[in-house]
Parts: sequence; structure tokens; C-alpha cells
Amino acid sequence: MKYLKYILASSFVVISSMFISSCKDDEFTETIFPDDEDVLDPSSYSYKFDKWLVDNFLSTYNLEFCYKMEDVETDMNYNLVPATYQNAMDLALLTKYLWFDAYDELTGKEFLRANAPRKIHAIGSPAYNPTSGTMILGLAEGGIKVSLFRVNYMDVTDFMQLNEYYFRTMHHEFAHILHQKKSYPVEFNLLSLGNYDDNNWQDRNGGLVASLGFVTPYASSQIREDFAETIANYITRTPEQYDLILWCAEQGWYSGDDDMDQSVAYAYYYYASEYDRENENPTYTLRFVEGENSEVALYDVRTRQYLNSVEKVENWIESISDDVTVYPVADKDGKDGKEIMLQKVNIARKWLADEWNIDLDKLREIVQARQNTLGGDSPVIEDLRKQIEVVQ
Amino acid sequence: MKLYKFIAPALLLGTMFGFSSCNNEEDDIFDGSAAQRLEEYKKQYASDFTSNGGKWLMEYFSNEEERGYAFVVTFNSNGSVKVSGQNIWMDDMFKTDESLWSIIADNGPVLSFNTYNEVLHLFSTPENIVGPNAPINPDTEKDINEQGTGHGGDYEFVILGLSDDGNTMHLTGKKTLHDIYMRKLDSTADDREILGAYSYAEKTTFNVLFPNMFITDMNDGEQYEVSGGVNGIFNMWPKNGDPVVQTVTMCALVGPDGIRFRKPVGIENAENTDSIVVENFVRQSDGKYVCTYNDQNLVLDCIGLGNIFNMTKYVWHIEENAAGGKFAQILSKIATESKSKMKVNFRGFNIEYDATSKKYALNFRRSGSTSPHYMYCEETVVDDGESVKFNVSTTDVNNNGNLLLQRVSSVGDFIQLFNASDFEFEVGSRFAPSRIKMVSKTNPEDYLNVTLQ
Repeated sequence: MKYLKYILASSFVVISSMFISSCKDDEFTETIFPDDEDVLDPSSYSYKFDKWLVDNFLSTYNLEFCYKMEDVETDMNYNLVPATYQNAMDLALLTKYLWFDAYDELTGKEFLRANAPRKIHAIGSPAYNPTSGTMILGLAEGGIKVSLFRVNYMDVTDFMQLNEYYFRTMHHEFAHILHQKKSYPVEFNLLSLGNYDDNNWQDRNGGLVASLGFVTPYASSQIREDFAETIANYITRTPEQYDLILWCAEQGWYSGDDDMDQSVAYAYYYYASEYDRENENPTYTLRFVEGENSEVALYDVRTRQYLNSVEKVENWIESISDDVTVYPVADKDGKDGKEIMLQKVNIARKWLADEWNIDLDKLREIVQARQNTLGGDSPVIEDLRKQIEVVQ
Repeated sequence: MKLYKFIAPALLLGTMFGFSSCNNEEDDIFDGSAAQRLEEYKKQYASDFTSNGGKWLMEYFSNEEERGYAFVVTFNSNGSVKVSGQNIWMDDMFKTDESLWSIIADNGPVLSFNTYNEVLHLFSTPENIVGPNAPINPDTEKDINEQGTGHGGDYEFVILGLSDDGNTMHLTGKKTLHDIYMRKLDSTADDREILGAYSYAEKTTFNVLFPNMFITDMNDGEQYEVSGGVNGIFNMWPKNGDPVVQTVTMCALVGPDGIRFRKPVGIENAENTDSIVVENFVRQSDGKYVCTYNDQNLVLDCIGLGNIFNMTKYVWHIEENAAGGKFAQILSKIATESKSKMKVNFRGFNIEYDATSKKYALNFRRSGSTSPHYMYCEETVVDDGESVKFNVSTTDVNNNGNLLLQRVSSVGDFIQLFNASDFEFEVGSRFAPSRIKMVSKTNPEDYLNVTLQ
């Protein structure tokens, strides 16, 4: 046994020395990854745009505006296509003008440097959900990345379309980014508890959900979407449109005797004849409708006119009484939709002020002022495009 | 116990040798790291794509239920790419669009068309397919409402390699895994001309009126029936086999030089004991197609052109103003005589089947009447089924035919020349011979043009 101990001891010494010596030469070598990836080539077709993106987003906010499609950055369950080069440029310019510059105007650059997403991904097509018949317009992931879809359909001359599909989506997704970093107050969760419907929100009428205190049907899907929609709609909807939604929130809505089909709802009714009156057979009118670009309006079935502001609705009520007596539908949902909606805005207002030092109303004012310069024959988009054209 | 004195040093030495063998590192198998090699490949392929003008013909398949499409793709080293196309989804109009491309590191080097191109991404966009060519739901007979699928094609392609001659780039669709080939084109090649030829081939190579096609394995004589082709979808099954069980269906790109199936497809023989594999059929000078994939010798053909006049349901019209040589002279004379002696305008002849008499006939066509002027005839297919000889009777005729022959003597001259000629055929596609040039074998100057009515 003595010899065995001797052998073991000697072996241990030798092995230990080998391990030590084998570690001796370990040194860091050159990186195995090529490091010339991000150098912009002035002869490249997209050089001016790429340089503009570097100067305005990457260098300023450490944000990559990705317009060259990267499918690994998307959900592979969707069929998606890249954005057109021209629309990607317009979207980048408008993102800066309506989102980054608007916040900078209010908070200075540091706020977005600290809180902006690290990546914005422009995607040409919508992401369709075949089972629900809905499409995704934007996504915010982990406070890091925002994906904006449907870029190829962007029409810079159509303000309502820009507002619905892009501007509101930007502010909606940024609201997500902010609450993913600092949670919104739990009291927000309680305001509409029990009235969310994640599976069938797309079949709910805008008037009905307004009456429950939701600014859009999508807001009625989940609490966090409600929060983001509350902020985004408050910031981007024109005052006329926002006031009309609040008006709708005060109404009662009729959507059939059994309330089964919530896709259609009416705010007023009348009796077409004495016979109908005697038999309690009302004719409903003033239907809540949403245009292709989510412009809220009320449609008078009787005279076939669209009313897209509170003033027009009030004039309609006044003028129609000369002809026929109209009655508002009784509000039976037991909710004060307008009050709930305003409470939600107040919570968001306070949260933005306390947690982020952002004045929501001032932000709204700035964004609205900028939005109003766009659409139609406005030269602003052409002026913005020049920023890229002059890049050297 | 003294044995340990020897064992101990030996073990020590052995252990030391063992470790010293680890001291030397293995030589690297590769020249650089995986990332560096991938980067090299990216640069090499970028150079390959843009070399010599950077123009390629892309043979593209979006899904398994549609034909293949041809695009002309021109890569520029500045990162832009021009894609041209002409197909039914563009109303058969030539279209070209410029966008961006790059080679990215993904599953190996991947060719990515990474900004939207109206020509290429049309086949990837998730929008519903609409229009007259949209797929139809057989149950509702309305457009299939795919909601989020579209054509389902790729715009990113894993690069599998460049052929040794540098003329063929082999890609595979990243999503669909379809094999996509790109053929090098000369930098001066005209996009519009190339795609026009593809469009013409798509429209004229096959015709639903002539469905009888077959593949012959020249090595063993085994035959396989073929149908379709008009919409780029082919159905194939063994002759004398069970079409219900043994039919295989495959989409293909039909071009001016041949037919390429989306992937090699096997067709079993009637006894399920052997099979052929069809992939790429090359068009021959005689209009037939030959596939030599895997050392096979497969010929795609249809019934001989000589037999097409024996199809009783079809009426063939001999055009009065599109003949040559002696035929042109006689037809002109018939027109003059018809006018002067019958007061009618000559409208050419038909070769048709008279169901009443159950005979084929040459039918004189004229203005003001559709009454047949039949001169009955027989057709003899000569040689290998590719040429014919007619025997039109001047005695076996109906009443109108009899009167005609008496009044317009040049009709008799026409019949005489017609009967004396052995005809061979010139057609755009032997699979869709809707217009045939019948040329006299003895004197090629003498010819007629015949169209299917």
C-alpha cells in the first residue's frame, strides 16, 4: 500500500502541473466575427437614407430604424412582406416628426434617449389573424422593439389614414413601452373590470364599448390595450373626433332585442307612424359607424347622412324634430361611459406626469399641431423628404 | 513488491506522455471561423450575382398549386435590384420594379429581397388573391378567402451554390423550401423580349382542345399519359394504369425552351414495378420535349399531327387569303369565279366531319349562306403520322357541292392540287396546333394555312 500511495501522490503532482501549464498560454485572440458590417458605403443605392437614419436615430437615440426586412425579427406565423423603399423613408421621416420630435419638444432629447425603443421595424404588409379576421397594425415587445405594419399602404396625402394606421399606432406602441418599464396604477385595472372581451372585441360596436368606457373596441380587449388606446387616442384623435366619442359614451345603445349581435348599434329611435307608436314598434336610427380609417361617425338611416362631430349631431337632433320626434335609447348598461373614459385619461395623465414628467395635454397639443400640418396638399412631407435628399 | 518500483515510473511516464500529446493543438480544418467563412461566402456570392451585368432569369415557384413564373432579375453592386415579370397576375403586361437586395447570414448565406418589389413580392404578400384568375372554392364557387396567405411565395432564398460553369445559381426558398434556379443571362439581353417569349409559351404551348399527350420511356418503351399543361399543372399516370390511384400532379414553368417541373417527380408504371422521374424537359427542333434527368431518355409528345384532322368534333378552316404558291393562285381564282358566276364572296374551305353521312368533307364557305357544299374526302396519314394526303372526291358530293363544281371550275383545280399534294405541318406548338401551315412536301412554295374553328 505504501507504493500505491507513492504512485497516486506522484500522479496527482504531475496532473496538477499539467493543468496549470495548460492554462498558461490561454490568451484572447482576435474576434471571430467580421467587424466591417456597419460601415456605410457612399456608393450604395440607399446611402442617403441609411446615413440619415444613422444621424437621426442611431447616433441620437441609439435606435435602429430597420426597413430592410428581417424575418427573424418577426413572428414567423404570419406571412409578411418588406416595406417599399419610398414608404419606409416617409415612415421614418414621419416617425421622427410626429413622435420623436414631438417628445423632444416637450421633454428634451434625454427622455427618448433613455426610453425610446432600441429598434423600430417597418413591415410592408399587415399581419393577418385568419381566425378572428383581424390584423395587427403594430407591436411593442419588451420595451425594446416596436414593429409598424402595413407600411406599403401608407398614403401621405390622406391624413385620416395616416392617423389611424401609423400615428396612433406609434403612440399606442410607445405607451406600451412606457408601461412595460413602469407599471400604470392598479386602479386603472378596476375601472372596467369584467367588461373586457379578448376574444370578441372585434365584433363589438364602437358606440356600445364607448358607453362602457372604452375609447375603441380594441381598448375593450385587455386592460393593457385599454391603457395604450386611452393615451394614443387622446393624443392623436382630433378634438372633434374625441368629443364625439365622449358623446357616444353618454348614450344608450340598441343592438337588437337580445343584444346578441353587438356589431351594429343605434342611439336614437322614432315611430314611423301612429300605428307603430301604439304598438311600440320603434324604428332605430343614428347608427354608430367607423370609416375605413376609423373615423367615428353617426349615420342617420332615415336621411342617409353621416355626422362626424357633436355639433352636427346636435344640429341633426334639433332639425329632425320638425319632422318626426326622435328619442334617445335608454342607457341600460349601468355604466357612465364618459366618466369612466375621463377617469382613465386622468389616471394616464397623472401617471405620465408622476412617473415620466410628461404633460399629456401639452403633448397632445404638440402632436395635434404637427399632425395638422400633414395630409392633402401639405408641403410638409416634401420638406421632410428634403432632409434625406440633402444628405452628403 | 519490487514490481511497484518499475510500475510507478512507467505510470508516471505514461501519464506525462498522455498529457504532452494534448499540448499540441489540432490544425484548424477551416481557414477561418464560421462567421468569417460565412462572410467570405456572402462576398463571393454577391460578386457572383453582380458579375457580367448581373442579369439572371429566375425560375420561381410560389406554391404547389400554381404554375412557375419567370422573372428577369438584375443585381447591382450598389444594393439595388431590378425585377421584371409578365404573368397573369399582372394582366399579362410587362412590369418592372426596382428595390433593394442583400446577402445575409442566416441559414448559411441567404439572398434577401429586403424591400418591397412589386413584381417579386406580389407572390409573397398576404393579401387575398383576387381577380379573374383567383383560385375558386369548389364548394361555394367563390374566391377562396385565404385571409393572410396570398400566393405564399418566398422572397428570401438560401443559396445552395453556383454551378461549375457559373451559369446556374441553385437556391431554395427559405419558407417553402422550393428549389429555385437562376440562369445567367447576357447583360444585353432584353427583359421584355425574354419575358414576352415566356408569356407566349405559357399561352400557346398547350391547349385544352388537345389533351392527348404522353411520355415515352425510350429505354423500355413504357408509356405514360399526360393531361393539363395549360395552367402549368400536369397530371401524369401510367398508360393502362389506374388514373385514380396512380396519377401524380406537379406544377411546372413552361418556357420557350422547355418545361421545368417544380421538383423531380416519380411516376410508377402500371404494375408499380418501375418508375420514371421527370424534371426538366427540353424542347426539340421537332416540337417534342426530351428529359434526360438521371440518364433517362423520356420523350413528351402528343398524337401525330397527321391524325388531328381525324378528330370528328373539330372543324378546320382553310384560310382563303393566307396561302402560298399555286394554292394562292387557285384560291384567288375561286374568289373571282365565285363572285362572277355565283354572285357570292368566297370565304375559304372547311375540312369537317359530316355527321349525317358519317364522312369527312371539304366544305365550300361563301357569303350569304351557311348551307354546306360538301365534297366528301378521305385522309391518309403517311410516314410516321406527321404528314397527310387527302383524297377529295369530285363525284361523292352533296347537291350544293355538285352545283358548285359545275359553276366554279377552279374548285376542281383546287381539289386536284389538294389531292396531289402530300402535306407536312408547321405549327407553333405541336401540343396546341390551333393554326397549322400545311406545306406541300414536293413544292414547299405551295402551302395553306388552316385554323381550328
